[in-house]
Amino acid sequence: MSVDVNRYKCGYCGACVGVCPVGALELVETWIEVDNTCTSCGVCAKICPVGALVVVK
Amino acid sequence: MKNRYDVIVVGAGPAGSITAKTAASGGLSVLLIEKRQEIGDPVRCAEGVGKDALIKHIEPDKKWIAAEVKGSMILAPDGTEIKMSEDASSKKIGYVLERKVFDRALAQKAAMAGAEVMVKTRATGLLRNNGKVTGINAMYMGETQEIKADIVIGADGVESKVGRWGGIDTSLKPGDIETCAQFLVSNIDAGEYSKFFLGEKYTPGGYVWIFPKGENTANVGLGILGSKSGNVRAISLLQRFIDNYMPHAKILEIVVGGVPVSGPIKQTITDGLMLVGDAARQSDPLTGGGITNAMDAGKMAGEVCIRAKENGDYSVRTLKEYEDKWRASIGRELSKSLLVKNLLIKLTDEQLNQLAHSLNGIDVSGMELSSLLLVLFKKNPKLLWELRTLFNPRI
Ligand SMILES: Cc1cc2nc3c(=O)[nH]c(=O)nc-3n(C[C@H](O)[C@H](O)[C@H](O)COP(=O)(O)OP(=O)(O)OC[C@H]3O[C@@H](n4cnc5c(N)ncnc54)[C@H](O)[C@@H]3O)c2cc1C
Ligand code: SF4
Ligand code: SF4
Repeated sequence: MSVDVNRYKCGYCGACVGVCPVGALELVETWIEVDNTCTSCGVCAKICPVGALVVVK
Repeated sequence: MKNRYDVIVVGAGPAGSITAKTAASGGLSVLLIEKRQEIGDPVRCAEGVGKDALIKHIEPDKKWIAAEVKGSMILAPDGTEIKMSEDASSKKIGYVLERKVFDRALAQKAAMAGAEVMVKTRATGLLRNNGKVTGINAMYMGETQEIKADIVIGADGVESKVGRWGGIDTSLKPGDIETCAQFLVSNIDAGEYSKFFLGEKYTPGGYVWIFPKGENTANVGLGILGSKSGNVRAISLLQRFIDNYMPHAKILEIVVGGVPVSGPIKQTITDGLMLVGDAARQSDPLTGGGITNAMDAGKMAGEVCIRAKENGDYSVRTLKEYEDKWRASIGRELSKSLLVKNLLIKLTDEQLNQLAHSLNGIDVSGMELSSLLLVLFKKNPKLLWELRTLFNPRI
């Protein structure tokens, strides 16, 4: 379970990091990293201002 | 870089830089780290700020002032204009900043006060001893290292991890964040007022802003309340606004970001740790403004660092002074704004029009938001009944 980040779309704003309930995301300079604690809850995808995140079930 | 400091500040935004400057001015050894290689870039802000609130912290400098504004104009969904917060003496009352330059200038103030500054340095975790925070794990240019401190300051903004590492739950629910997109546009006449367009017809649970940046440019952006975003993306709604209302605009820059609008959170300190600015969710739930709150909080936190050093006590016993101080000032304002925001997002476009019409014939141009709300409440008590606690209960 994880999320796919379209790094060509991402504006590296960190909004998704702030909403992830389990802290699975990290913004490292210009890319988002997802760790294995992700529960595929979908909150980050809902919040992304540009739609760069897709939840993989 | 040393391997031990009195204070380590994580994040060189306005909150972090002012905290670092204040603590360093008091003679403390301070390390300010910023994970990006350029402080202030990319920008995640509309760059609007009130003059008075800013001048408390820093002497204005034309290097980081893009434009000055006369006041604000709120536009109801049917186009009714409410001009407010104008200075009667026709002085300009607000700035639109160049934050890339502003944030760096603030970090420089911290450096000049004696703080060490390290860019491209990311905090990756906290060091702890007997439950107390005693420093950070950091990565500088790909190398990891431990750096010790008596106090760690989490000034790491909307994406804050420092609080979470310290056991403070700062995660934002969708209803606690505005998801925003902004274009810096050219080829427009932006006027001399900051403009705010309200209504579902523009964006759900947020507003569109136009902040003049001088020379036919402006920051044009919008926010959507996370819980109302559905499948709509902020950037698509913004593009629609531009297409509909400023088809000749040319886009020079894209900014995206999230603004915490939760209101005061339960906890911002633990032994050896304080959170400031957006990391402490201190941005205004109604306006989304957070720069000057972040600076105010940074000053309070920096002063408490000095006190903690004097006492030789870095536990919550001493740090509570920060928590008490910011709640009594910033926190009270945040609570009021949260009340207004929670009501506003429930109103229909027709009800917003009704509120705007009720001001017909009244001069509100010199008023601040709080006075305007009082007038609106008196004219529309039923509609705004939930706001009664803001004012004298006998009204
Ligand atoms: C679209 C948008 C429009 C806005 N418009 C306005 C406005 O017009 N006026 C206003 O007053 N406010 C506005 N705000 C809010 C304002 O930008 C914030 O409130 C303000 O920047 C908060 O300052 P800060 O110092 O707390 O955090 P930030 O300015 O976000 O700084 C945090 C810093 O911490 C760094 N960091 C994060 N994690 C780490 C780590 N692990 N290690 C090292 N460094 C780290 C980040 O890179 C960043 O530089 C807006 C926000 C957005 C998103
Ligand atoms: S899907 Fe949920 S758990 Fe996974 S990264 Fe996104 S917000 Fe976090
Ligand atoms: S919210 Fe979207 S644009 Fe912002 S950092 Fe996350 S993936 Fe990128």
